[in-house]
Amino acid sequence: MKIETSKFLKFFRLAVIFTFSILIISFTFPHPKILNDIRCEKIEETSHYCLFNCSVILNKYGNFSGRIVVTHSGWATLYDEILNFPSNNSFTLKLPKRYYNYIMRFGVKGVDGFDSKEEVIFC
Amino acid sequence: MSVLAFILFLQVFFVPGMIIYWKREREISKMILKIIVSSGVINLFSFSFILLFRSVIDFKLIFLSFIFSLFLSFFIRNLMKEKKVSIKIGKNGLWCLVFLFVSFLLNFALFLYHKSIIGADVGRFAIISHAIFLKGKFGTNLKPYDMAEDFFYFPSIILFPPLFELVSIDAITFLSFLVFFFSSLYGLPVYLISKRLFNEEIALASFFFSSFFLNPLINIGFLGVFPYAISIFYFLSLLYFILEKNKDFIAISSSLIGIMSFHAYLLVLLFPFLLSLSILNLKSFSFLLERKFWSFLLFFSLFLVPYLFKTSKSLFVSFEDNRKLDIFMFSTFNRNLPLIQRLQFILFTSPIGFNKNIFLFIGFLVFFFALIKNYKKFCFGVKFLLLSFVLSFFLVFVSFDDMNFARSIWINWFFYSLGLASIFNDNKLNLLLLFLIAITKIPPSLFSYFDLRPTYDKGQIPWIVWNSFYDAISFIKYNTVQNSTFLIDGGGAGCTGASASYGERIFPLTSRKIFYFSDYCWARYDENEYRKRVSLYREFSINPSDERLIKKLKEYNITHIFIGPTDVVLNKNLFYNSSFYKLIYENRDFKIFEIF
Repeated sequence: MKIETSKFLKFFRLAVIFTFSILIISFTFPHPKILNDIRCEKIEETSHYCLFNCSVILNKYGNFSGRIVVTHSGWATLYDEILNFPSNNSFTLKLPKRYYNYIMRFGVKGVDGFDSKEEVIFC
Repeated sequence: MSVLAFILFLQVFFVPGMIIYWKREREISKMILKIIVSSGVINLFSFSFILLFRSVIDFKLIFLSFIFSLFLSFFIRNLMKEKKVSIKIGKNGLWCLVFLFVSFLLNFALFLYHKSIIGADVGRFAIISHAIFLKGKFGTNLKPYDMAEDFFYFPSIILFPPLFELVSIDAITFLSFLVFFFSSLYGLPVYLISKRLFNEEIALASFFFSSFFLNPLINIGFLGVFPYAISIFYFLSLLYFILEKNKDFIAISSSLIGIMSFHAYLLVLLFPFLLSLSILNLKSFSFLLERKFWSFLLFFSLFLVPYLFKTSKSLFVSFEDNRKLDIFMFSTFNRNLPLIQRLQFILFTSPIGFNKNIFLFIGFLVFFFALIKNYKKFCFGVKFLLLSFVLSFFLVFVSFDDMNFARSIWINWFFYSLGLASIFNDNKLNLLLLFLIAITKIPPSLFSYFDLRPTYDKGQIPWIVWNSFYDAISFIKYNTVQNSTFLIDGGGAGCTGASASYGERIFPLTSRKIFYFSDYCWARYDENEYRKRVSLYREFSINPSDERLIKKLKEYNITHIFIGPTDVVLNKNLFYNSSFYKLIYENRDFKIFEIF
């Protein structure tokens, strides 16, 4: 019985070491780089809004679907759309003029994982 | 009604544990910890189990659950088969009780002063609770009060608040009180861990430093992430119960389920400690060989099946790829930090807001000084702390990119308070120090929370819910019709959605509906409807006087617009000057417009 006991606890120790290692590996594993850049160009500006023409540049070719989200600080989402590559990689964005750095987030899902990028856009 | 609420609170957090542990535990501090840890969990089992047969939220549900929890408590008491013992208090036990009492008084004073914790989470959960309460039935479809058709969150946060609404305690007040209650208890598991690793003097000083000075539970809980904060209490309790010489399998399983029922992410942080202990003293895990432990854990986990069954559709929703953007903003915040800055954030900042603090730097130095000083004297304790610190630092360092794991830096506060305690452990001097801290209100001490004032910076978290908010709420309650719907300035994708004006609290506090844009990262929505609303919000914020958009708002039955001091996207000046809106309420901070 003593031998079994000791074996079980040693197995438990191995399980803990294994789980801890998995945790470390999963956190340190590098993100796949599908995204290259998001470029936005201001094409119109009035006292009420700014209009941007944006395009997404990918490192890889293929059928990807991406989601673009624009938020004001952490408090409000003003734009949330799905883009399907390679057919549509550009979009126009109209934001209220608030003299504020909006946060634009873009995530894309490819065959080898999920990649994301964040940009600041002033209006 | 407040008497009923008091009785309900006693029943949920004291009675089952009292039945099990009264005079079964010699030491008073240990008994109190076990009572609190087991009570909440046993009641959670009961509520979840009763849901299998009856989903209606009424007094009958409370009654049935209580009868069942009492039955469970007596069953467990008999299962333990331990002899009655007389309770020992002693001089140090008395000091511990004094600290516990002072800690409770201070936290209660903070609760009375602020009335509510801040942040978006409490608003979200209060919306869920109030929707369930108004529907009179437990379910995950919150329509017509909210967009969410299905959601998952850890069970304690969802099951307890609607019961307190039955005794006229709104969910915001209940959850806020819960944070202050658990904050007042934070020092107890730290005290017992310290006592197990070192001695009585250091343990008492640990209680002092962890409760009043480096208390991560109040930092995380008060500033918004309260489920995670409460889970810290169960986490440290579990750590103590594993370290304890005479293993109590009920206490171990209850604290483990406690972690999972408030915020399971803390289980990840458990691994550095388990690893340290399995290297230094594998016998600590002998409870794993007991059949009773596994039977209790598995049998009682089954009670949670009804709850999990009802919420299973959205169980893994926050791990779906398209939801990752919801927390993306936070996730990338730390990603490209230079090494030195990353180390500074991990070692010397607060878990919420990452505010640098000189006392954390001092705590870090003292912790290492204490380890060196006591190396020979306290072999196991010092080795355990050193190894756990190194391993947890390693884990936090690699997981720092993820916001949910970045909060794990609170664990340093635990180490630092133990370090401080092993150097400064004169109780009388510490009481003098407490007096000095109380006068100076040095952050991050408990007293510094009395000094929090609202911020008016655009886009910033409005640090406290201030009195003018309650004036506006009072106006809504007594001057608007019951079927009014308020458009609030804020809301958006998943976790990032909230309102800087705290407008989301209108619904749980006044039962008036609110219109905003989906607000839970762990909910399933009608995606098309959600995108329609986001688009409407953008267009409306550019021109609120566009008749086409006002017509759309009216289709959603929106009658009022609620704008706070840190207006987010809606520009209040555009409403003042428009003929489509009438200002019906205004105070220093809040404006309410009625749509014509």
